[in-house]
Parts: sequence; C-alpha cells; structure tokens
Amino acid sequence: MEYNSLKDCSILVVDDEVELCELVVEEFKKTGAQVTMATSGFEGIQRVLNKNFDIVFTDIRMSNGDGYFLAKEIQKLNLTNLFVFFYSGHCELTLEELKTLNVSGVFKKPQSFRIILQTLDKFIAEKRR
Amino acid sequence: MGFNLKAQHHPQEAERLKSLLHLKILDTYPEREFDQITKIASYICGTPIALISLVDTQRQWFKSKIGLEATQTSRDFAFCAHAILQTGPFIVKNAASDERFFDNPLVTGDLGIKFYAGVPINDPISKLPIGTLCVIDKKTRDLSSEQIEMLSALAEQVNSLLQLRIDYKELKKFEEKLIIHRTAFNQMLEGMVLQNNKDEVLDYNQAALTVLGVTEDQLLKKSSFDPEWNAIKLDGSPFEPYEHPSVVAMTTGMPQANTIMGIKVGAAEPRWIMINSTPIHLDSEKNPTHTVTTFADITSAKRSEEQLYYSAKMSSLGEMAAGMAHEINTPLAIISIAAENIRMACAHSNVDIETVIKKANQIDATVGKIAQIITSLRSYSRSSVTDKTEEIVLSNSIKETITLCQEKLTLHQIEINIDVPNDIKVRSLNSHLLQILLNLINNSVDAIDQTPNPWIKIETKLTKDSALLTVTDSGKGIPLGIQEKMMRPFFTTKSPGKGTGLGLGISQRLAESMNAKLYYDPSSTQTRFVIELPLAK
Repeated sequence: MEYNSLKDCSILVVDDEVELCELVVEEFKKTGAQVTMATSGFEGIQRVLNKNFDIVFTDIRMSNGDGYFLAKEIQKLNLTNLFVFFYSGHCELTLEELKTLNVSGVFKKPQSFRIILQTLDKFIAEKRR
Repeated sequence: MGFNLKAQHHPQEAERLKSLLHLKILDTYPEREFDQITKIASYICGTPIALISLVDTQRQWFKSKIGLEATQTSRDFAFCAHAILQTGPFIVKNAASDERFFDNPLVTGDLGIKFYAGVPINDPISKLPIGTLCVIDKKTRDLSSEQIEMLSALAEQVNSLLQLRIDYKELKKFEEKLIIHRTAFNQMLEGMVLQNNKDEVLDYNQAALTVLGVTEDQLLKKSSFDPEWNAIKLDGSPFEPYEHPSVVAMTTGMPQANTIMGIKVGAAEPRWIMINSTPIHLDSEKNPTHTVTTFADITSAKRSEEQLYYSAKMSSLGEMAAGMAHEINTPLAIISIAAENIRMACAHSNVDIETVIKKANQIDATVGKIAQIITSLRSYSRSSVTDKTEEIVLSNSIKETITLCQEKLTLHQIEINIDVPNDIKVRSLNSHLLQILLNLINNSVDAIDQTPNPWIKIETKLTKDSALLTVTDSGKGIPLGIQEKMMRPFFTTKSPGKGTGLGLGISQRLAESMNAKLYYDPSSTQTRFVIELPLAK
C-alpha cells in the first residue's frame, strides 16, 4: 500500500504506553514518513519546539502533561502547517471543544491502523492541494 | 366545774391527723367488713350501740355504726377523743356521775349515754391512734374481762382491716401500673422476650412473634440452644448459641447492644434483626437471674443500606469508567496493530516466522493485562449481598485494587509503594475489601494530588489474630474536628461534585459486616487508615 502524502511527512508520536508507542512509530515508519517518539506531553512539546512536524499523533491520558496540555501548548505556537490528532481509548471532549483546541481529529483505540494511515494520508493530500 | 370537760389533743396531734387523712377513709361508703365487726362487738358486749369512730379535727365520724342514726358528732362531746389518749380500753361505767361527762349533751340529751367502752384503733403505718372501736349503752353497766378482751381483739381486727385496705390500694396501683406496662409491652413495635438463667423464654410480647416470624409454641420455653434456631451473622456464618446476646449478657453480666442477627426460616431470605439484651439481677443476686432482650426488624433498612453500598460502588465504577476504557483500549490497540501486522505479512506472502511468534507473544501478554483488569473489575462489582467471608490472599486483593486505580495513580503522578507479603491469608469478602481499599486510595489521591511528590504506601502488620493493613499517604494527617465527623454518612470535605461523602461511612460499615474494622490512626504523622482483618485460621 502506498501512502503518497504521508511518506513525505514528519510525524511526532506521543504515548506514555511505551510498547504501543513503539508499535505506532513502527507503523508510521512503514509509510516512509520520518517519525519521532515522545512518551509524555512535556517531552512532546520540547520536540515540537526543536523540530518542524506535519503531524502530532498523541494519546490523551498521560502523566507528565496530557494530550490536552500538548494541544494547548501547540496552539500557542500558532503553527499553521502542523496538524494535531488524538489517539485515545477514551475522549470526553465534544467536537466543538476539539475545534477550540485546534485538534484536527480523534482516532479511537483500538482501531485498524491501516484505516488510520489511509485517513491521515487522505487528510494531508487534501491540505496540500 | 365548766361545761363538758373537753379531751386534750393527742401529744402528736398533727401527725395523727395526717395519718388519718392519708388513709383516705373519712366520708367513704359503709363497708361490710367493718360493719360485721361493729355487729359482733355489739353482740359480744350486749350493747345497743357499737361504732367505729374516727377522730377528725372538729368531729368524730363513724365508719361503721350499729344502733345510731347520726353519721358524725362534734369532737367537743366525743368520748372517743378521750379514748384515743389511752393505750388500752377506756371505760366509763356511768357517765351521769362522771365529772368529765355528766353535763355532756350526749349524756344529758336524747341519746342519754350512760355507758361507754372504747379501744383505740391505730394507723397501720404511724401506729398513732386515729379513732376507736366502741360500744355504748343508755344504762349504767360494766364489761367482763372476757368482753373487754374480745373488744380489744376486734379493735385489732379493725387495725388489720385498715392495713389490708392500704395493701389493697397499693396492689390496685401496682395492678394499674402492671396493666399499663403490659399494654405497652404488647403494643411495642419491637419484639421483647424475658429469659431465665437457662436462657428459656418465660415471656414475650406480640411483636416478638411477628418480628421473629414464629408461633407461640416455637418461642415459649425455647432457648438460643434450641436446634430449630437457624441464625446467621452478617457475613453468612452461623450464629453459635453461646454467641447469642442473651447468653452473653447472662454469662458476662454485661448488657449487649446492637447485635445484628439474620434469622432463616425455610428457604426464604433471612430476616435481619438488631438485638439489645440486658441482664437482670433480682434480690441483689451476684449473678443475673434473667435477661430482657429487645429486637427490631431491620431487614428493609439493611436492604436500603445494601442498595446504598451498591450505589456507592456503581458511582465509583462510573468515576473509574474513563480510566478503565483507556486502560483496556490501550492494550487492545497493541493487539489490533500486532494482528494487523500478521495479516498484512500473510497477505503479501512475506511471513517471517520469528516475527509472527514475536507478535503472537505480544498479543498473549497484552491479553493477560486485559484479563487482569477484567478480573479486578469483576471482583469489585460482584454482588455481595449473599456472599460469605472466605479465605483470601491479601496481596491478591491489593493487586486487584491497584489494577483498578493504576491509571488514576499514573495520571496524577502518585507513587505507590506496596509492602504486603504474599503469604498473608485473611477471612474477608473480596469485593468489600476492594471497595474499602479503592475508597481509601481515591480519598488519598484527591487529598494529595496538588502536593509535591505525592505517595501512597500500603503495608501490613500482624497481630495474634489479625492483619493490620495500613494505607498511608503523604498528607499530614486529618484535623481533629474532621476526624470526629468523617465516618458519618454524607460528610465530605471535597468540593461539590467531587465526593458524595458516602465513602468512609460505607467503608466502615462494609468492614463491620465482614468482622473487620476500619479506623483512622491519629498517632501517625502522615494520614493513615487501618483495616483490621481477621487472619484465616
């Protein structure tokens, strides 16, 4: 399967469950994307400050800075070409609240990662059009 | 010599009059027993008149009279007023020639009294003379010694009758009291039984039959040792006869309060009663001779309480739901990705056996994590209404609890430290224990969340019969004013919406229901609660 848009992307994966985080990183790498890993919201924002990313793919419930914290901090940076996606087992926010946080979408755990990749690929393609 | 020599007052006149009034006999209707005495006196002495005369302030009043119409005469003329000053019989053989009475209107008037013989009658309590039994004749005469003796004996009979009258009145009062007590006893909503020192039921009220759901035959003369009793404790274990509150009250001599007992009749759900038993010491006996036991049906109250426990449990489950969803969905995501990897490899005929085995192992291990969460959830949410205590490994219960709240602890960055050996077995109800531990941990998290370097430590200490499970957190203890109130239902120091205030109160009741104790340890410099659990034997 070719992911023409994703393969040129730089992606930050953030999850405090290291085993899952590594698996997700592995899956993104298979598309050809450049992938960076972080295991907390605090670590995530440090990576964003030091490198340009196209996508931040983050868990919500984490110690040391959760997904909401990370989204808010990114919002403050006003990075128009960076898209934040939540990847969570439980999200209590409404669509309106997600928009306020400038979050582009929510993927629920567990969901076929192939579908996640296809959706993201399509999303990036549309944004670049 | 002046007109009619009046009798002097008795040396204890005031008390004498008080005694007379106290008898409440003045101006009462004639009574057959008194009339029979005057009749006999008149007959024995051969006089036309016989009286039982009571000497009042201004008059003498006749309780009984033979041969006289008047019911009373003035005390000023009364022979009896003289007679009560004597200790023995007072006899006037011829009043007309007696300097004390010759001009007395009762002597000079129509009545024309010549002869008088009176014997004082005394108040049974004060022993003071209140009147006389007297015989009167209109002619001069005398009495033989036998007649005087008989008259004195009859006066004694009057004394006895007065005593009986007092006894009867007391008895009547006592009977009235008894009727009130008996009515109250029978109309009480609480059951009540009176047992002797062999624990046999001697008496009971109507409510006792209703509350216990038994017939008279099943209760009267039966004891706690009767094999037909099927009593259980809150934890479902049998209530041994020697543990029954009446038996304990009898053997220890100490009142037994608020014991809860389940009574099983047939296959129906047990009927729950709360019992109070008090020993009774009759005649200053050293050991109790009886016990009086009261009991109320608390089945519906207990059911409401169980519903409250259940609501509190469900409320905690609701609070945990978000964390649980995350805890389960994260390993499911691992499984999903691993399975997808295998499927993709197969689809592209690119199967590397080593990778497949690695992924399968990853799936297995992750399934184990989810299974652990589900086991803990099942232990926690299990309905415990009919559960009995069982032997449980304490460290397992703690692991299950931590599984349920691990996500919350991680999220709030609270360090958890567990020091509980794997070989400690206690007698407990696992779901109750999990609920108590979870309540304590949740309270700790709420209390220390915003403090630097928060931690919770769970440890055990063993005594001869118990395991003391302590839950300590990095908080600096609970103020004295709050310590006193915190176990009450609905008391909370949490902000609105954060706590129902049911946690600690319910936890304490849950602990009691499985023969354990939950208390705060004020001696600790940190906030510490202790769960005292009976060791499994």
